[in-house]
Amino acid sequence: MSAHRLPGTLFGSAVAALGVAAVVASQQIKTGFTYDVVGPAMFSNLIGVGLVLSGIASVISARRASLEDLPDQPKLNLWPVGLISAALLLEAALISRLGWIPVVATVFVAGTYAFGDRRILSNALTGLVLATVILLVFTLGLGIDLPLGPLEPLFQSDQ
Amino acid sequence: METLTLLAQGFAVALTPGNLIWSIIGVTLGTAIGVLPGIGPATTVAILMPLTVGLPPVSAFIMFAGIYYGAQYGGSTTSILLNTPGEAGSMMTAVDGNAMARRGRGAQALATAAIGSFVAGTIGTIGLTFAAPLLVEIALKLTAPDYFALMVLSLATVTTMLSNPTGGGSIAFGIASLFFGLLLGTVGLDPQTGQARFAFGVPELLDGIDTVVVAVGLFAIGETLYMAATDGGKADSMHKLRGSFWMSREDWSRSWKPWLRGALIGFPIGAIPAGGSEIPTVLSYTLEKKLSKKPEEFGLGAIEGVAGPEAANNASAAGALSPLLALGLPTSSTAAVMLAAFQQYGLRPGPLLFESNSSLIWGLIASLYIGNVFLLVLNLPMVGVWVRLLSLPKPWLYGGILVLSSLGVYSLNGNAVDLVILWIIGMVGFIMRVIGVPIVPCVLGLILGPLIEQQLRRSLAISQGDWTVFVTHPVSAFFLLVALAFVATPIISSLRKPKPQSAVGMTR
Amino acid sequence: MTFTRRTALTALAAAFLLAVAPAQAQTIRSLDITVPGGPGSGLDQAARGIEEALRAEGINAVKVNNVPGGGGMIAISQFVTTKEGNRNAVVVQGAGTVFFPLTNKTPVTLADVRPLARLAGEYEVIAVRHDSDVKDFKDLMARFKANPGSVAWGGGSPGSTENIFFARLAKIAGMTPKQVNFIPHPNTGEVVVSALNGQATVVGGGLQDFKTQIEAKKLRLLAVASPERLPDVDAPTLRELGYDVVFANWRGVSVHKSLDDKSANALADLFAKLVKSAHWKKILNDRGWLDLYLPEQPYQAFIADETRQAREILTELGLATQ
Repeated sequence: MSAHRLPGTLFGSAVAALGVAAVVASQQIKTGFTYDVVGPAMFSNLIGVGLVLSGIASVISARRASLEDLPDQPKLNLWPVGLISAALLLEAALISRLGWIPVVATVFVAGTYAFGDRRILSNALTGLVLATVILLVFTLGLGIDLPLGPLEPLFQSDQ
Repeated sequence: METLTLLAQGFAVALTPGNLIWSIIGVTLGTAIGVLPGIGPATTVAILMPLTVGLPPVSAFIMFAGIYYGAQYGGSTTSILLNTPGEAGSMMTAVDGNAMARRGRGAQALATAAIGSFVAGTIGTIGLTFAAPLLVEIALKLTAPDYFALMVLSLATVTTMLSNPTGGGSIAFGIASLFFGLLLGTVGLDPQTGQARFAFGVPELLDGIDTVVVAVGLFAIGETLYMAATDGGKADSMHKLRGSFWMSREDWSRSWKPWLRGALIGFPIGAIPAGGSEIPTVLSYTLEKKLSKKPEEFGLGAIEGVAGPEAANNASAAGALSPLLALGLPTSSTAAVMLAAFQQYGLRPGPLLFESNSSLIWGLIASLYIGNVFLLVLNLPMVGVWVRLLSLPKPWLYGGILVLSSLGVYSLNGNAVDLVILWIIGMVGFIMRVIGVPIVPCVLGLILGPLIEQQLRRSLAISQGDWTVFVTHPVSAFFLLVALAFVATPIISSLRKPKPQSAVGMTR
Repeated sequence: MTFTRRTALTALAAAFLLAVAPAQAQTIRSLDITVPGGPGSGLDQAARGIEEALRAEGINAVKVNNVPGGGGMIAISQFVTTKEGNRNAVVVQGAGTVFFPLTNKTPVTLADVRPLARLAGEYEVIAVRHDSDVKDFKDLMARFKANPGSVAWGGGSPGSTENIFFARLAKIAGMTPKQVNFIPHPNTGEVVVSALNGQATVVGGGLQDFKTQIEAKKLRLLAVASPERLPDVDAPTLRELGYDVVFANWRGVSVHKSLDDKSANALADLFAKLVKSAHWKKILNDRGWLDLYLPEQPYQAFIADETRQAREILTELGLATQ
């Protein structure tokens, strides 16, 4: 099998596997409601079957396709993807504890670094300013709270 | 004629200097929140409500209406420039709008969106003025089987988007993408029985996966990851601004029909309870693609693909106000908040309010016309400013997109689980891009799946299991026939003149 | 939460005022309201109503924090984790937040907060389309008994107030809750639509949801689930009709479980005063809510009773978790 056909084959297999998983997980759904003819599990089962079939079809079409029809695989550089992913997951894990400003500034720095900007310090500063401005606009202007993290107690005292 | 007299009186109310200022404040605020992804007009009006206690009701409502229209418009800006749709209604705009921006035609995309919004918003408001009671009367006749058929029709039109215009990918990939979206749509509490599906005990999943999270994840995050992986090292600015900012003669001639058609689709569907803005934008996009002489341009920056959906989106906003004003029925979350705002003043919208408080209602309707004009005046000159965003250095632009995406998703519900889902969906979007799987069918599956399922099961509960209801209701039967034609036409035409490629071959 | 010098001074001043002029005593200067629901939802409207009434009383620092999702349980769990020791924080709740943990496994329940006061609500009413051939409530129940499936009962989401309300009616009529063909809807607007276009034979909800259509002669009331007839409402109570069901969609407030009695009492006093204020009465009147005020003890007993009855019915419906 040519390397060009590999991604499509892998994708199709993953989709089919997801379909099987969906059908298996659907067995957990409680059914048997008097007037609900179709029931809560039927759609999820159908979708599971659809995933399996379209996954298989994807594999077949990837293997049958003539090579010149396949797009050129761009060279993938995976470290920026890893960096951005790490920053996003860090953000999700720490946003309640550290607050909006530091985690979002980190995401900004990671994003700029992933796109080749190595000025970490100045970008960190930009990120901090950006995050702070957004926080102020949301809190003061719209009354929507973004988490402050350790700064929280400073703003929580009585009137 | 009587309507015109009343409308004239309404203008007399809305054109007082004080109310004009409230209208300007409303549309400005609305545009601003529309540009920010995540928070929508419902939240903003709810926040402002207790603060407007001192205002006369008509001024408060003129401001609220401005916020509503402004937010509907503002969503297009981030969709076009940053590929970050802030709400489901502007998702279709992102497809060709962002492709135009990449080709240096961001200003034209923004302009056709702004003018189209104005045209469609005005047509929608005219509809609201003269046809609301009648239209709502008709809309109320539609029952669950008809809704089901309308959703099936929308799903059938998705077939036109199953292949990826930017090359690569087969129809099979498109169908897989659609089913993945449908799967995401089943996550959470089943609306018919309240049973949890695929929630795995995570309470944040019980309400389902928000469309905004999926749209932002697939479009913005997926795209950012893909760009970072393919040419992260080159730190240049991203889209060259080319030529004039103005729409060319060709742009105009390709835009005006989609504006009108978008308005004609958007307004009535917006007026049906639970019609929303997603379905009209999808229908408008596919209709434009079907009618276009250059369907191959769709997905690569066809101006019709921006003009139509954006018009449909704004007309649906006017449509959604119809059941509220004509009958006092809140059929969208914004309408529910507006209803609460009416109640704050001890008013109940509906036919009686037209009689008992006609200067308020007609002042509000008049202010919608005025707000639309303000929106155009405000936003057309802003086009030149907005497109300069694109001349930011690429690292800043994408760093900013990451920040905006986080903001939009986190401010939806204020929970970190949504950020994890955002990353997962973003990775899926990245992989789909690498392999050449189209992402639009996935988002459409997410939107349409739950609606189809709910209406199907509601129909069957009411009919006590009788499946014939779908063909015995004339409206339902009609929609289903059109849907069948939509799916069957390409199959029949491909059978007539067989192509050299295999049936599951490649499409470009 | 820091006990700042300013708080201390405020408290001191308040204590002084309390001694001098009890009527002007005011120890609570701000309120932080968590709402388990998005803007425009029933609970949100209750919170905004509280905010408005408190502003009228001169308490301007009121913050409403919407936390939608998870049947209201995300809000409760956020409240439990972040508001510990916050003496100005309350969370709003209603019938739905009591019922939801019964149908779904949730990490927190209402047992994790301390119910403080029931404030307002609406009794459930039953309506049909104005030209429906269902003559009255007796006729409705006769049809239901003859052919249960043919009566489509429209209401809110599964496990909602209406779902339980209809099930209780069925039980009293000698039928089983499972025989109710319940058609759920995501919002009250759609419930009304289903009644108007005849999809639902009969609908349930708050009087306010249907009032416009009743006045416009598009809907007709069959019965109300209040203990006595409602003022200006031409419909019999279920009790009169021989169905002993009183059912309200109510809203109340709770505080954090760890809060000391003194602080909790201060908040309780605030709400006891609030419900007597002229502005609150005006809000109730404007929005068609009834004053269902109950202080802490009876409110807690009321919730326990509601929970027990709901659990029984949800179990019969096959919706309850074990």
